[in-house]
Amino acid sequence: MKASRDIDKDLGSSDPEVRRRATAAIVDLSPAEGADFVLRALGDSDWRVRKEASSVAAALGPAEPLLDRLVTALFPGDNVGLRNAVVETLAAYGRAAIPVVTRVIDRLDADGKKLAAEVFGGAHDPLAMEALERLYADADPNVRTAALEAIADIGALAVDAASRILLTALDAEDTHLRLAALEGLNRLGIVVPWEKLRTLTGHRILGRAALAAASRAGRIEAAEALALAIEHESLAMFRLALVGLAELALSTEPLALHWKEQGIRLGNKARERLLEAMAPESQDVEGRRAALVVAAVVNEPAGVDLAIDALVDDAVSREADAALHIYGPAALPRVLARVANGASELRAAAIGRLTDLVEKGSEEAVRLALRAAIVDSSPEVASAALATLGVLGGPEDIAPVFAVVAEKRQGCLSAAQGALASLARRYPEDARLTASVARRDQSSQIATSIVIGALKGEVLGSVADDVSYLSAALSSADAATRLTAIEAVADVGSDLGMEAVQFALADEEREIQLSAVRALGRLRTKDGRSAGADRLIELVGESNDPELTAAAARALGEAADPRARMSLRPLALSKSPLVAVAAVETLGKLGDPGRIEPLLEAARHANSEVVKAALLALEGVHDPRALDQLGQALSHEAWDVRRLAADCLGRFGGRDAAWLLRDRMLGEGEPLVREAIGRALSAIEAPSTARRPATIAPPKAES
Amino acid sequence: MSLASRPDDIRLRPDEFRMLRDLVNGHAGIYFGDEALPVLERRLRERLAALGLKKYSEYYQFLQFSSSGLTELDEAIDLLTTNETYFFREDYQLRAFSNEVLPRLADDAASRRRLSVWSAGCSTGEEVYTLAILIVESGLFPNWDIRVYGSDISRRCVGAARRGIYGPSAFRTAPAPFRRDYFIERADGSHVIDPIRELCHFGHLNLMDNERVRVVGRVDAVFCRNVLIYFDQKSRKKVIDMFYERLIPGGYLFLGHSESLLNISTAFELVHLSEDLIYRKPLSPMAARGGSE
Repeated sequence: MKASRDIDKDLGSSDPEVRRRATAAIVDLSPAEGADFVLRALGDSDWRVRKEASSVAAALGPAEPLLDRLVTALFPGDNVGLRNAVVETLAAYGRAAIPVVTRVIDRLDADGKKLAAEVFGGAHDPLAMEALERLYADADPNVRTAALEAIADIGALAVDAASRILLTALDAEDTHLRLAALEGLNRLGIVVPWEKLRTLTGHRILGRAALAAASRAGRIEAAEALALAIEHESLAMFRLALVGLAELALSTEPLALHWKEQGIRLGNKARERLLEAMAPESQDVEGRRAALVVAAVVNEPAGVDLAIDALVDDAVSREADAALHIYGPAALPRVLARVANGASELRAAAIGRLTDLVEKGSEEAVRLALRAAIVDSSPEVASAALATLGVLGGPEDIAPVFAVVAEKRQGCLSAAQGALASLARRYPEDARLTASVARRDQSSQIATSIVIGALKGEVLGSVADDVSYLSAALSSADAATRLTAIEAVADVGSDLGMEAVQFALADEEREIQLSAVRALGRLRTKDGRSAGADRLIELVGESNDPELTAAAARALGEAADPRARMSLRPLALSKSPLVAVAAVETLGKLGDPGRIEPLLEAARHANSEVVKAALLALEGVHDPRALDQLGQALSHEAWDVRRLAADCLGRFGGRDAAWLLRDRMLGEGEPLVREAIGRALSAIEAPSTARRPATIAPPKAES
Repeated sequence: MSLASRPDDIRLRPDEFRMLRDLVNGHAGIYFGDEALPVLERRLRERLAALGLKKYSEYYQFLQFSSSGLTELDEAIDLLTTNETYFFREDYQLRAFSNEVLPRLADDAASRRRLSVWSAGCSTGEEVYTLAILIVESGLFPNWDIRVYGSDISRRCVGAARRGIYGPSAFRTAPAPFRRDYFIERADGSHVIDPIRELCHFGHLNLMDNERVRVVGRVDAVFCRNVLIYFDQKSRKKVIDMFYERLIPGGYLFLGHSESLLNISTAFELVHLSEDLIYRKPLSPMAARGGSE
């Protein structure tokens, strides 16, 4: 260990390596002894020494003597390197540095105040907001600008306060202040009222930032301003307006459609740039996304095919989807043309858009295309067609879809089952007829079972006839048929199915066993009581199979049996997290006021996933004991539990919850938890400000 | 030349044999005498190879402590059990069932109009379909709710039973009309016809698992033939008690010709039929001659 005097001597050496080693040795001193040395080392002319000093400062921690010494560097001085290094060190200390810096800000000169604002911004703690407001009130415009930038830096943790200050700053006379405020608002995604933006969009310095903000204004006037800007000579301005318009269209659908109806057209230059921007070979992905949307808004005919192609490009598929929605039924003929030909992936994607584009008069053309596609050799195309036919099909489509299900065609069985269920619910009589005709055919068991399940019985006659049919289907050698049959028994929900469900618990397929357990929770006697509760209680009490026990615990919740709480209580403490989480989640859903005790017990479980499930359940229990437990969880050893506890308290609400959160903020070192605490406090303490994160990154304004 | 053990080099040591034997016995009741060491060694060797294990003791550890140990134990038992069976096996007993027991059940259960029979340890399903056919052939149960349950500890057997497709050897003792009337001949074998298949329900059950066997519900007759011969005395008693619990009062228990309840104190009463001796659960507990305790 190096003595203080040796460190003092070595820090004066002309050899940077000697100085660096001396700096490293400071870590063995107390913060009080080392404070002066740290400050000297942070101001060293050699970057390696300064870097070592930063590490030492972090290792010594935010001790009072060290903090007091560091803030002296914010006062006037010639060593710029030292001041920058001190700002970084103090910011890294986070919350601990804020009161110390706040104490000196009134005594600092303008440069020092700017540095203080940087410390506050870098500390990422809403505690700094009050000091930053004081700095924003400073007479020096540079200090005020720095304060606004720092407010934007921590704004995500205190959105309402940041939003209030930044919006007020838009009325300032100083242009740089207004620019800092606009950029801050853009960074935070805060909606700026159009009234405040109107006069700024044409401004020489503020124009670009104002146009970026206009994309969130949700007003036709904002769209007009962006449309004007898109015709600008400058390519940068074109892109800015393009992205802004797309943002506006995506966030405000009526506005996009209204604008389209107005028939606004782009000038030649802008149109040329638009086509270039949406070309598949464009390297500017954000520009391409925006161009696809804007092309639809301005009804650019060349955009339809490009949008269809883009449906299978992951980078732009969301915007392609939105674009086709904006084009509307006019795009249908082009989309139908693509359904018939081309790569399977693209055909399937085109089929997926049909539901959105069909309108009265075009249904039959769409159905014809879908009927041809359900027997396509590509499972991808057939699946997409079946899913869509389930929504758009008519009664005459039941029989062909029924046949596809009965055939158990590889790759599209699931889609066919969904389509058949959907069609059966829409055309019950036709579905009953089809199922009745097919009932003698063993190969149709799966399809008939789907119809019975979708209509909840009375398909082949009485419910007893249906259950008898489904029981026979449970003898099938085909596991998919048995699974469908057991699910249909559950959908029918009659206790007549009890025996079939019971025996399905012994099925050799795991999925069918679990499905049978779930079905037990859904079967009811004629007077509405649970038929399977007794069996479920036996299962949760005696089964040594965690997966089955967990399923039984959840099914018991569905069974709505008054004995559920007592049966689930021991499970909530099970060593198996799978079982305990299932029990806790089910307990949380019970209306039974007695559920709080087992939930409190589970919140002290050794497994943190169980604790989290218990906290989520307690969040909805309005009881002081729940609040107390959520508060205790803020000190849990696992950071993810603490973070969840903060979020739960935010939703629990109330002054006591806010007090618990504020109290914890002081001792919380994990940034993600602190962020959650800030979020929770914002939710409790202030009405939310309209804020929307940008879906397309706005370009940086040039000042 | 590699020094690594090849699967067929791996030997089952006597201590490993005992550990594995006891594990299988505790789980499924099946008991292997000392003479079965080579059988276990041969039949389990493929599992060691599949799991990349070098010793039977490692396999034992895997069965005991791996998260997939229970599933693997099912695999092992699948390999260790004999699944040989055929239609109309031990036909004198089936005649007794058809000619003497079914008429009694038709009378006893007339008010319920429901008949449930359980083939416990049904292997690949031949006995289950045989019983279903006999019930239909009897003509005593028109429009009754008939269920023939088949269960086995082997998943592979249950799957085969559900498929209901059989080769010629399964019919070695079956009367010719039986095959003609109740099977459809196809390239891959003889398929059980749908009306018979619909009466038969198969499940994967370990007879030693008292909690799971409750899925069968209460039944009128249990067939458990040539299964208990593989069990030790204690497990046999446990299974017999479970059958007693599953039978409705007056229900019948059929065991294999070499099996009896001698040496097992049970509450069953003996019924003398013209061609066989079978067991019956007394109609009332008072009638029981022994205790199942």
